[in-house]
Amino acid sequence: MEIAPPPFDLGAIAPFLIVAVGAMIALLADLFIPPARRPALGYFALGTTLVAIGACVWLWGGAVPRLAFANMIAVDRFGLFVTIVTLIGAALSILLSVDFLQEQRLGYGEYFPLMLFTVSGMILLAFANDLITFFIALEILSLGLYILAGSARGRAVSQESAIKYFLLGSFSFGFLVYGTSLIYGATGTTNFTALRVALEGSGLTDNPLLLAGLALVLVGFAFKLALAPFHMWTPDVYSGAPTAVTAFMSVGTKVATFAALLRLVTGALPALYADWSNALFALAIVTMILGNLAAITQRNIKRMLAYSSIGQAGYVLVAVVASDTTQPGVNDAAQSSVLFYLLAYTFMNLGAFAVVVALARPDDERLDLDRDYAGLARRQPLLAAAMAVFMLSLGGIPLTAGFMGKLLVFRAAIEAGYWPLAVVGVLTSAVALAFYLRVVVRMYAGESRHAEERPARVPVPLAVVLAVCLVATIQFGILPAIPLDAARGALTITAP
Amino acid sequence: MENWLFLIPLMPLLAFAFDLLLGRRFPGKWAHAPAWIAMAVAFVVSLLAVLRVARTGEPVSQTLWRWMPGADLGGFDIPFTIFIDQLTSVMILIITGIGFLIHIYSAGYMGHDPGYYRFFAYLSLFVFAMLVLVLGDNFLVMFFGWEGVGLCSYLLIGYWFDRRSAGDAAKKAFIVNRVGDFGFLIGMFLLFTTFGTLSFFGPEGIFANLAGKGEGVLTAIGLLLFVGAMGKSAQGPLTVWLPDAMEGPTPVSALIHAATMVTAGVYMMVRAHALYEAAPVALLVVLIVGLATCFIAATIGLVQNDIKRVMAYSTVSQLGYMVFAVGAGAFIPAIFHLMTHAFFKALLFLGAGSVIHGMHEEQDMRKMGGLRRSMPITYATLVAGSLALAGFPLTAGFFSKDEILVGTWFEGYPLAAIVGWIVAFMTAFYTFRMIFLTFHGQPRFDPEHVHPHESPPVMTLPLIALAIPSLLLGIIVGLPAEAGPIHQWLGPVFEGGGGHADAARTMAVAVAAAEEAHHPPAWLTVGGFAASTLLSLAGIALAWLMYGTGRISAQAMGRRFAGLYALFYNKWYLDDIYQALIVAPLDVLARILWKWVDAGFIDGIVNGVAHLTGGVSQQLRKVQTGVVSNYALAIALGTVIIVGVYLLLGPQFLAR
Repeated sequence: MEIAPPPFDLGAIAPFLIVAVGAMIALLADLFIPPARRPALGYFALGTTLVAIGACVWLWGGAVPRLAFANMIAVDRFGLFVTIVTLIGAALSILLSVDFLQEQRLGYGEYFPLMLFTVSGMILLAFANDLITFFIALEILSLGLYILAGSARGRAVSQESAIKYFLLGSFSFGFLVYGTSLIYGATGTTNFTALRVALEGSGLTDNPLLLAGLALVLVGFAFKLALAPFHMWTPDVYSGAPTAVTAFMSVGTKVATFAALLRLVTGALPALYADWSNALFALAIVTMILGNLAAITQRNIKRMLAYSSIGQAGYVLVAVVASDTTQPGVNDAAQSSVLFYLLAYTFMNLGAFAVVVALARPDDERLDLDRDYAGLARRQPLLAAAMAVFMLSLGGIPLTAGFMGKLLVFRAAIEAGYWPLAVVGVLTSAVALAFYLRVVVRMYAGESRHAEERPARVPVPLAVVLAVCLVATIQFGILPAIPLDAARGALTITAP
Repeated sequence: MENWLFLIPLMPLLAFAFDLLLGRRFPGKWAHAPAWIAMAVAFVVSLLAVLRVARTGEPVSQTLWRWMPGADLGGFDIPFTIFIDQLTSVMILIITGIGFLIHIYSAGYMGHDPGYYRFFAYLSLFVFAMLVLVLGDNFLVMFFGWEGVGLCSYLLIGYWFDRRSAGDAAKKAFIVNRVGDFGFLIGMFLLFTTFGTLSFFGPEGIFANLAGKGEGVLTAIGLLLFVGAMGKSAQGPLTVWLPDAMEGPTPVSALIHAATMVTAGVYMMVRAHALYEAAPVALLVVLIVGLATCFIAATIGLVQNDIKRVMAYSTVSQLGYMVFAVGAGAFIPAIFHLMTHAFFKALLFLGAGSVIHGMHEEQDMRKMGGLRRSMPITYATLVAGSLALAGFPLTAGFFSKDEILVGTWFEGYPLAAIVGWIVAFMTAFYTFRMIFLTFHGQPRFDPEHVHPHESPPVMTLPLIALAIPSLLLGIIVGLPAEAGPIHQWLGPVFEGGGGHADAARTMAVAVAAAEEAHHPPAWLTVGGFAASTLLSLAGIALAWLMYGTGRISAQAMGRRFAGLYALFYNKWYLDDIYQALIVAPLDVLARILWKWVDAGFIDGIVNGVAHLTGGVSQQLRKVQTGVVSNYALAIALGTVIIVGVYLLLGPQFLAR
């Protein structure tokens, strides 16, 4: 029997290739660059992401959707939209890192190449149309993140963070692989397209093997998305990792993984809607409640933002639950709200982390809410104003991106009939205001402990990040039409 | 589509941001510079827009963006559109023009204040909000501005927050305005449920779809919106905040509490005139409330001794004129008076500020006197403003007030017009009482300690600039009476059902005929002129006899009419009535609620919830041990639960 190799459609995976090749070049170049010039690598990495965004835009207008590499990759607007969001997050994170690394003396040469490798994994995740591709992508991205989390080699917390992340990640990916094998056992395929065809109208939907497989795969997702009760690694890893890394993984990973989840459940498993939506329903409620409640008692801004990101993931999950493909109108509203929320979340969360980065000193990361954020508005009014906007947006106050995101998500949930999700979502949003607004109150009403000290200058790259995030956060709240239209145009999950 | 209109509101907003964020670091006292520039540019752009309107006769507009288009939220798609027609033109010229002059004046008046930059930041923010209020083409944008000016008013009344009285006055203004805003908000909800939109114009807009809507619901909307107007324009039961608002710096009183913000209610009702015309009962209520306010405030103004309080009650009274003119359906005279009043009342307040400034923060007129020699420019300009307020023949106020009274008579309310003339007499009297007490006679202050001096040019130049229109504006736009340029200018706004290319303008011939017939007869016009002239002169003469020459003893008058005097002096006991009827019962109720319901029951729940959330949060911290194997256990347990539930209970364990 002759096996014909699948055609090499390199154009289809251009964004992935650009980033991966860029990573390799950066890795090589690092050998020849003196340590003092390492920021140049950062700007090279930034350029790489921008070129990749250009490639995405090129593909957006071209012949999409298309399947490539024996249907293991699906290039469609959905994936492209997510890739662009991921790349924007990556570009901003790179800008965030350049001065931070120097100042914190973390200027290790492999930092930016690793970041690019991680991004390449995220891109592959967004296009994955096969459980195997999906797993490979997840591993690429995770391996990079494990090392990045431990990149502050001199600090024990960073090492601890990396080890915890690695151990627990490997543990849960075990479930994921096992679940994949069970699904293969039940259906004879791992391909999303083939899975959908196999499940349609078959008697397989009650197969215990398949259901157990689905459950285990969902566990893998739940870990990576930090959904309660699989979230416990998050605060430790987020607070231990260098802040720039935390910022990067809190947005990029979530965005790409949510895209993969949505592609799997609506592209491959619509026949199992009742099953996965019920599981995600329960996870969403637990996540929204736990994430927001636990954030209240946090005094460390990074831990607070870690729990906040758990709660935010719960809100996105609400819209995933509402993605019922049998009701096209509802499904469109739900999926577009997922995309909109991910986009909004990228900007507002990165913005908040950018403020944290801006406050850090070489000897002291300045993470304590009571000590370091009190009275910030008097010392650094612009920085405090920006942080206030990000907090209000994360809390969902009108005229910000976060408000529009929540509005769309809850509306999708109600349309799909999941009003308990909307009720829990609104109630937990109210709880969440307690800790988001506490930051604002501290900044504007507190007495500064660092009053005598000269406020540090915000370096230009960081100022660019802050400005971009600020403009986007406000603009998406006042003018949501532009991103919303783009998200609407990106609703073609390919599973022909 | 004029794509440069956005500059009008943007400029003051930029000035606000600039001053607030960077004002403190500004070298020297230059925080007024961005505000001055912004106001000047905004005025020029406004002027260009108005010229465009004047040339084409059509409104100009620019849609900035739509809020939530396609979000598919049941038609809740709000266009943020800047809309300028003839009515808006009048408003924006007042706001930016007088606003500019007051910004200049403020640099002198507030020059010694440590919070200089903060003052200019707030003042610019106010101008922005006020412009949004008048420029919006739907109720939501208007409400946005409406709330914005309320906020700025609060911030500026309480500007000297270290004074307890200023803080109290700010809170009073805010709370009373909340009552009004609540009515406005409910009215807006009712509008949206009735019409499915909040837009004014266009075929889908509110004013084009009034036909076929029940008069009951329109009356309810009209009355609810009027509650909002009562709050902003200090009418009826909601007047009480405005006199106290004089705790704010004087330029604030001039700009916000005389020229612009307090006229927002009048503007809103004139803008929604089509709605009100379809709800005659609501209009009648507006008329009665306005007339009563006009009368009561004037009587209180007769006996005040604080120079700014005289102005405050006079403002309430003049706003009453505008409101009852609206109630009578005399919309153009109402806007005419709004315009002239903005000039002469801003002038009067700024002049009073100049007097207070020169007298070292003294506001009691009984401790002034004879100031005309030391403050000649202030004296001259204040007299000009007072003549206008008193309706002295041929001044601006004379024409506009006369039009209101004649218009009201003509629209079928002669009784209201007669009350209006009585108020005109009182107005002339208290205005010149103020002039004579302040500037004439012998000084009643201690010349050893107080050295009254003329204010610097930065303050007197705006006074002069305002005095000219106060005297001449009436002749320019008000002649011939009831058909002057102001009528020709504003006429298009009131044509047809909702105005502006409206399909309701069906029978042009009939309308033209109606227009022809819609002029008061000559005898009424001439009679009105005569009555206004006589009453104004009589009021001034009486003031002269009592306070200029002392031929009639004010004390004797006070004794003879002791009852009335007490009534007026105590502001008709309005504050006391509120204290007894609303505040005290509320206080008792609040105490009961606090002691029993709140402390016992609600606090129990709230604290319980807080303890619960905090407690849960604390417990969650304990779970977060930091030990990896514990975390792995949680993952394993979670997995067991999910898989177990699937396998044991089957898929449909959670019904939707």
